[in-house]
Amino acid sequence: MVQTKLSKTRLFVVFSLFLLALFCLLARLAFLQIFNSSSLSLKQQNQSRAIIEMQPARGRILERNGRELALDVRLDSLYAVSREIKDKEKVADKLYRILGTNRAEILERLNRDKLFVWIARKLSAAKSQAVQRLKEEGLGFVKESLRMYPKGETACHLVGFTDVDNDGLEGVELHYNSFLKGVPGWRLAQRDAKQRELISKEIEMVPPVDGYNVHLTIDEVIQSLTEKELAETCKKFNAAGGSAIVMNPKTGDILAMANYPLYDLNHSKNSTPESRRNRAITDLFEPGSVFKVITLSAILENKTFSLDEKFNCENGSWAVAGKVLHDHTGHGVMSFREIIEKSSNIGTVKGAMRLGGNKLYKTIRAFGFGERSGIGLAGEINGLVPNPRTWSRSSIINIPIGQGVAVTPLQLTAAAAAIANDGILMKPRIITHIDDQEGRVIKSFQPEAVRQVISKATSLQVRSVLEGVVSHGTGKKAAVPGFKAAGKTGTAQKLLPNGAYSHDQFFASFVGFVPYDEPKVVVVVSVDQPHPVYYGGDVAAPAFSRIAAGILAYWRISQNMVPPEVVKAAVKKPLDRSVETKSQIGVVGQ
Amino acid sequence: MAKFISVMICTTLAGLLCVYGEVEAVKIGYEIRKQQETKMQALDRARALKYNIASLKAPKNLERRLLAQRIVLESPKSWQTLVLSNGTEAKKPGLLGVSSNRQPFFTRFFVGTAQAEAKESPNR
Repeated sequence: MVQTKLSKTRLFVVFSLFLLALFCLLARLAFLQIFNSSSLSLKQQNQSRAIIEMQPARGRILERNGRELALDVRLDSLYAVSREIKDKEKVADKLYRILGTNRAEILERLNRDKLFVWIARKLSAAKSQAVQRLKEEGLGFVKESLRMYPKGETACHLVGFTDVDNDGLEGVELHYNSFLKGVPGWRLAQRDAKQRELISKEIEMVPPVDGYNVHLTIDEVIQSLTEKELAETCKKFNAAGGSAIVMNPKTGDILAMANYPLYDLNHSKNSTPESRRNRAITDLFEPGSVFKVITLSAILENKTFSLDEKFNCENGSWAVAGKVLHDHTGHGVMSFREIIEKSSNIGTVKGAMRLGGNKLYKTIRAFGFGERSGIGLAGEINGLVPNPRTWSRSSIINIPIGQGVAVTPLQLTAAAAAIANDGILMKPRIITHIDDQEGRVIKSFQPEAVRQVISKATSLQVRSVLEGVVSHGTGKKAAVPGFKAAGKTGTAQKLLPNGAYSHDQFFASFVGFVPYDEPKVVVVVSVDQPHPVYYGGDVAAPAFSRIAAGILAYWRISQNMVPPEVVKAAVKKPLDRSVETKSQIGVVGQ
Repeated sequence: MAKFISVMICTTLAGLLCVYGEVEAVKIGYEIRKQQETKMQALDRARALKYNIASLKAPKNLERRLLAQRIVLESPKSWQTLVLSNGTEAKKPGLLGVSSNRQPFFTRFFVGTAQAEAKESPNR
């Protein structure tokens, strides 16, 4: 009886304990479900869900034929989870052998007590594969975009470069950054215990929008040719720098924009700010005698006098407005055509005085000097053309011969292109269009005529004079074999900081186009501080000749002149059988 | 009782099917992820190859390599060009479009462009 009572009591106690335990569990459950549910579910979501950012691909920069000048390459970046690495010394040794960087630095990074430490960023494929073969625990890779420039130095000042976050810092990369960069996307995804993404449980996604491609007007071949010739000229004449621009006069398309010195876009960190400057649009210089083309255009357009009007060039020295004006060689009485061909300062100033300052100023401004061309590149400057109201007594002597005004090589190119284009000034165009990854055009830049600066008749007259400059004037070295070229030389003294003109620092330039009767291409070459030779006709004109000849050969434009020595050769040498047919034009082999 | 058992079996089968579906979806998800990674790798490789091709085709690199091999390409000199005086147009393409004067097949590979010729540098 006593035993039964005891058993019942025990049973009751055990049952009560179980009941209490159950109650506790239920209470805990209720507590968790009611009071802690939101914080716990948040914790769970944090562990299993992840927002993954999706980086867009930066748009490419292409030249006019679709060749890439800038593109993105995705490379592996190596990181370490140091806590998971057991033998850090051994791993550091292995990584040092592959990466070739400082072993102590690798070891120092591995020793950091962190979950994530960068070891090396943007590794080459070979190095990345070598590290992967190690199969070391605690090492991982993340893909990162690296901006690459397959052409290296080609068009470096124009293309520009980006920083480590792929934001443009210079050139087109900077100016069109908003188009090139793209918009990042993201996705909210569920992860499993091994942190693998569960695609079937994808919750939300906003896809990235890749950057747009920018198509430039430049031609890689012409750009390379121009850069090469400019660099050779600058080296040959020990110049401090230089720039050369090639433009299509009909459309205003910039086919090449070269500067010297160059720098490698893939190693832009090693370059100096001096070498990164796009001198073609950021540097001002006094144009000197090349500006006589503008004075000539103004005189002919205003019908002040004809090209046959004679002027006394005072045998090379003329005292006027309290100053003595000199020519580089003495001339007597010459027609205005000859004055330009021989580049006489005295004759040009006399002509300009007859024209008057206001008319000259209007023509200068009409050619686009003193204002930005609107090419759409960062850093372009206005230039300097003083208003006649502010002119001094000597301004009418200085300005017609290119002193007292400051221009950029691009402004000079656009002005020369206007003369080559029957007097129509075209807006310089550097970009043809911007399109997306599927080739849909987002923005198009059409050739744009700014204004009719001079009449067609005037432009033809100016062109005929400029042809004379090359055929028997100061620009003989600009002659292009097989073609009639036209142009003007310029040698300007550089201004010293004290306002005086230097006697040993010059700016040599040549502005020209070819063929003169139907211009296909305008080329401007300007060289800063060449020495010991410094005349535009000796320094810049030969570079013009080589660039123009190269372009015409590249375009396969047939020669329109019969070189005299070829005719002689044809008379003397019996022709090859294969080229005996008289209607054929061919090449006689060596 | 029989009804209860059949309902239970049906419910169990439906549950198993549901779980099987979920497992398969996860498996296919893993497979898709793997394929996506492969695709990304292939695209990355393609980008790198594009870069290499563009780099190799760069005129400056070509010039450097030709110079290293002591091959100089240049336009024909005026004395190498013959223009006949009867004023007729050149046959296309350009000055060298002389069909009867074509070079042997293999020789063409050693000539840069129709208007250029390769020759060994004199200082070799």
